[in-house]
Parts: sequence; C-alpha cells; structure tokens
Amino acid sequence: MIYGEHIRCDFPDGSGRRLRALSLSHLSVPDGAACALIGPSGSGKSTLFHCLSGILRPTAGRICIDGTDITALSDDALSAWRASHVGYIFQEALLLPYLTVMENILLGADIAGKDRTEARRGAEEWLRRVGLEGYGRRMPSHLSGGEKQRVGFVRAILARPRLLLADEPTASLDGENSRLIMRFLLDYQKESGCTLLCATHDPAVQALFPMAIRLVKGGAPQ
Amino acid sequence: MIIKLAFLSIVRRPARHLLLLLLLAAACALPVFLLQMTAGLSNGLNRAVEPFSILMGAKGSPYQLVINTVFLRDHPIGNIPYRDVEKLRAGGKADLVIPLAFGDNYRGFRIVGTEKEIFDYRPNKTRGPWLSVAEGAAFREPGDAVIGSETARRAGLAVGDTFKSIHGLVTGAGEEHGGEYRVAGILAPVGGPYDTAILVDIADVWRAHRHEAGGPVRRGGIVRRNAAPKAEAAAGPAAVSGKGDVTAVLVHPTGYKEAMQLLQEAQRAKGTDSQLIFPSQTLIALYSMAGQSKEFWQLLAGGMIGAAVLITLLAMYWNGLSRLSEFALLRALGAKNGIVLRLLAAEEALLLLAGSAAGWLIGWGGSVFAARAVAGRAAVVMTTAPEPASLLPPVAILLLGLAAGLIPAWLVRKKDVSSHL
Repeated sequence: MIYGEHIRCDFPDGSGRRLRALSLSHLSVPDGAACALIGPSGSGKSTLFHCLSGILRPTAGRICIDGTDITALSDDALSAWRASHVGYIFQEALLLPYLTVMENILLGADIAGKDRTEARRGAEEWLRRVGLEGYGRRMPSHLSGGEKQRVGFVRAILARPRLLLADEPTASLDGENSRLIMRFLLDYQKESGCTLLCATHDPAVQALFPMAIRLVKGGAPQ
Repeated sequence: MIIKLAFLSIVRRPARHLLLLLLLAAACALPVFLLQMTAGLSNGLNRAVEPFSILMGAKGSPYQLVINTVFLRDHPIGNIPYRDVEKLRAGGKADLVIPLAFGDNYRGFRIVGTEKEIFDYRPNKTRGPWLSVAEGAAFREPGDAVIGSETARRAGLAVGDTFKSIHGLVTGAGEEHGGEYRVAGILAPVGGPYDTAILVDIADVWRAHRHEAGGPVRRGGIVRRNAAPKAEAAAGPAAVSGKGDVTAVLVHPTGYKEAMQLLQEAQRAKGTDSQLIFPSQTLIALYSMAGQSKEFWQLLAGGMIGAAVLITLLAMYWNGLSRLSEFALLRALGAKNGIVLRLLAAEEALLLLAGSAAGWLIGWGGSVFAARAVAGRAAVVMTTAPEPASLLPPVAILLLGLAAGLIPAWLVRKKDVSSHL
C-alpha cells in the first residue's frame, strides 16, 4: 500500500523565490491497484512519481510504501530499495545509447544485483512477449519510438518490482504503439499483482484504469 | 559492471571520444615535446662539452674558441705555438694535453690535426674512450685519417678510401691540397660534433700548410673570405723546425686543484698570446647572454603544462556535464551515488590514460623526429632518450583531469537528478 501525507515539493525558481511543484495533503493507493494519475501540465504528476520512487526527496511530508517510510531512508538505502521495489517507465524510453537492447534491459537487474543468467533468460522471454524477439543485439539508435518504449517496459519489469510507475508512457507514441504498451502494462499488473500508477493526459488511457487520482496545479487531489 | 560500462561507453561512441582524445593528446604532446627538446639540447650541449675540461687557444673571444673547437663551427681565432703544448705537459698538472689544428675540410667535414693519444682519452674514467675506433685502426702512417661515423655515412667513405682535403673550413670554398688522405679507421658514434670530424696526424696538417706556404700562392679570394687568415696557416713560423702551430689545446687536468692552478697561471702570465678557458662555464655564459637560460625554458614549459591542464579541466568537466541525464537514469534505476561516481571515474581514467599516453608518445616521437631531422646539420646532437621531466604533463593531466571530471558526478550526488530525466 502507498500512503502519503502532507507531501510538498518546492523548487527554487531562479529568482530567489520557491516554486511549489506539488502539494498533496493525503495519498492512499491500495496494494495491487491499477491507478491512473491525471491532471494538467504542471500539476506535479512527474514530481509525485519522483517522490514515490525516491529519486526526489519531498520538501515536507511523509511517504510510506509497503510499510517502509522511504522519506526516512538514507541515500544509499533508498537507492537499494528503489532498485528492488520500483520499476520506472519514462515518457521517453531513456535507453543508454552505447548499450545494446539486451545490455540496457539487464542494466536494472545488474544494479539490483540479480542473477545475470536468470535475468537474461527472463529478458529474452519478455522480448518475445512484446514482439522484439531477436532484438537483443540491436543498438537503440536502430529502434523505432514504439520499440524503444517496449524495451523500456521490459527493463522496468525485469526485476519484478512491487511498484510500477509509468510516466506518460504513451505520450510520444502513435495509436497502435500506445495500445500495445498499455496492454503490456495492464497485463503485467494483473499477472504480477504489483501496484501500477500511470500518469496520463489521454482520456482513452485513463479509461483503462478502474481508479484515478486527479492532481490540480499546486493543490490537493480531487 | 562499472569497467565494462565505462569501456563500452568509450568504444561505442568513437566520434565523440576521438575528438576528446585528440584534444587531450594535443594538450599533453606540446609540453612533452618542449621538455624533451629542451632537455635533449641541454644534454647534447653537455655531452659535446664534457670531453673538453680545459681549452687553451689564441687570445680572443672564448665563445669563438668553444664554438670552433667543441662544436666545429665558425672560424678559429688564431694559432698558438706548439711550445705551449710542451709547457703544459712539462707542468705536471694535466693527465693529458692534446693539440688540435684546424684549417682544412673535405666536403664540409672538418679536418682536425691531432695526435693519436686522443684515441686513448677517457674524459670519464668509468667509461670507455671518448673517441674509439670502431672499424679499421688509428692513424699510423702519414696521410692516414680516422673519420667520424657521420662523416663516413654522409660522405660515403669506407676504410681504404682516399680523399683530398680542401683548404679552408667551408665546403667548396677552397682549393685542394696536394696531399691525399686514406681512411684508416672509422670512429664509433659519440653523439656529438666529432661524429662529423676527420682526424689526421697533426704533422700531416703542418706538412700540407708548410708545402703551401713555401710553394706558389694558389689560394683565391674565396678561401680568404671563408677562412680565418691567422688560423688557416697552421704551419706557422715554427714549421721550419718540424713543429708547427696549433689552433687549440685540449687539457685534462689531474684534479680540481690543478685545474684552478692552471687557470691562475694563465691569468698571471704576461706577454703571452694564449688564453685558457673552462668550456662548460663559457657555454653557460653564452646561454645566459642569449637569454635562453634553463629558467626561461622551464617557465615556458610550465606555462604550457598549465595551459594543457586547463584545457583538460574544461574538456573533462564538459564531458561529465554532458552525461548528467545518463547518470540520472542510472540513479533512477537504483544505482547508488558511489556507482555513478566510480563509473565516471573509470571512464575518465580510461580516456585520460589513453589521451595522455598518446600525447606523451606524440610529444616524445616528435622530439625524436625533430632531433633526427636536424642531426648532421646542427652543431649540437640532441639526445632523444625519454626525460623524467616529460612525465610531468601526462601525470598532471591524468590527476587534475580526473578531479575536474568528477565534479559533475559530485553535482549529481548533491543535486536533484529528477530534472535530468
């Protein structure tokens, strides 16, 4: 279960003042839920994801995930927790350009300290399932946007995370690729029972989720 | 994982890293080249002057005496009588006293009239003779010549070949003497100006000049212009008695005290036409006068190292900064700060090692190439052995470049990486 209270994130705006990027008095997502995160640009969807994954420490507030208060963890402990508990799918696939598809996928498993042989077997199986069989040795520059996003998806789920965060995963994809990615995400969520949060602007994507959290600019969720 | 990632990051982005490597190599090569050339020149000068502990010659410029006798360039000041040689030998303050007579050449290679004891002369007792015959033998018969290794190579002379000397010190500027020389031996390379010398018995030089002095005047205007009028006639007034004049005398004192005594005696002597100098001191004075002191070169090299380090600092800082989004991604995947820091350090260490090693090789190779290109044409034979000081630029570039490159990784540690995702 994800539980948060009085979460606030402020950033310096460059003129000496602080800009409020996120203000959330309460957040509660049940374990194993599939939930859409919606709201206009600047409402703090990405910031909330960064806070939930521990990449960003909130200026104030507390976040507990599966009983762990991640805001109280040290930097290294937070990194280790993130490597083993969180899968992150970015708006752009963000693949390292100098690694092959397989090397990119195994990077997360390597960082998490997973067994490489087992991870490779899992990666090959998942590449087959997402229609990229035989793509392991290709470089990211030779992939289309949809293919890159599927590689990003496999990298995110390979370590079987309990929390999967998808930050507008279909924003830069065409209709067909968007449908594919959403199908993979939801199928995996059902299969693994993980908690899935998906930020989106797209009403069609939003409609795929049984529940949604709506963020407003600098305000509380509705 | 870290080394593999660092290695792949470099080799799979060759264009990006090749430019960086070239920049690092160029920044490193310039000061290495300068340090090598400076040290090579300095060592070459020292090596050339080392056998000449003390020189005696006609009064005049000590610089000219050194340049003529040690480096076989320019014209002699004049001659001194052979009795000065005998006087030095009788004084008991010198191990060795060797007369030298200049005035002729063969295709620009100076003919040095001397005595065969020169082949036994060991300036440094722990090493072999300064001039040792590698092929053939030292001169025994009148007309025998022992030639330097460069003379043999460039003039195409071998043992048994004959040649005629030209009067004067510049190639093609004089007339042939009547006498013919036969190559009796070839010297082992000495790495100095005497590689281009032709050593003959001093009696042969006297004979050639005595013959000329007594015979018809055959020398034209060209010879007079290019040869020192006093020195070229090494036969001198004593020639009739069998011993002619000498241009210079190489003196190796028995010790430091004796060397100083010889100097004092020379300074006190009145009514003499000779001077006694320490060539190494003259060389230092010449260098200082020309404003090309060691400090000047060190300052220049220091400035170049500073510039190289600055270029490296900027290049590595830029390299690290341009990778922030990659580091942010690694952090998002769960990599600890230490992993990101080690990855960047490994990558930059590989780059800096390759760049500074290539730069050192280019700088050193360039200095070897330059030394070889001027060898034979220059009076000083520059040494090309790697100098310990030339390691300073690559080491400075490696250490400071690494420190500068780690700044962006430190920024990732301290700053919010989420903005780079």
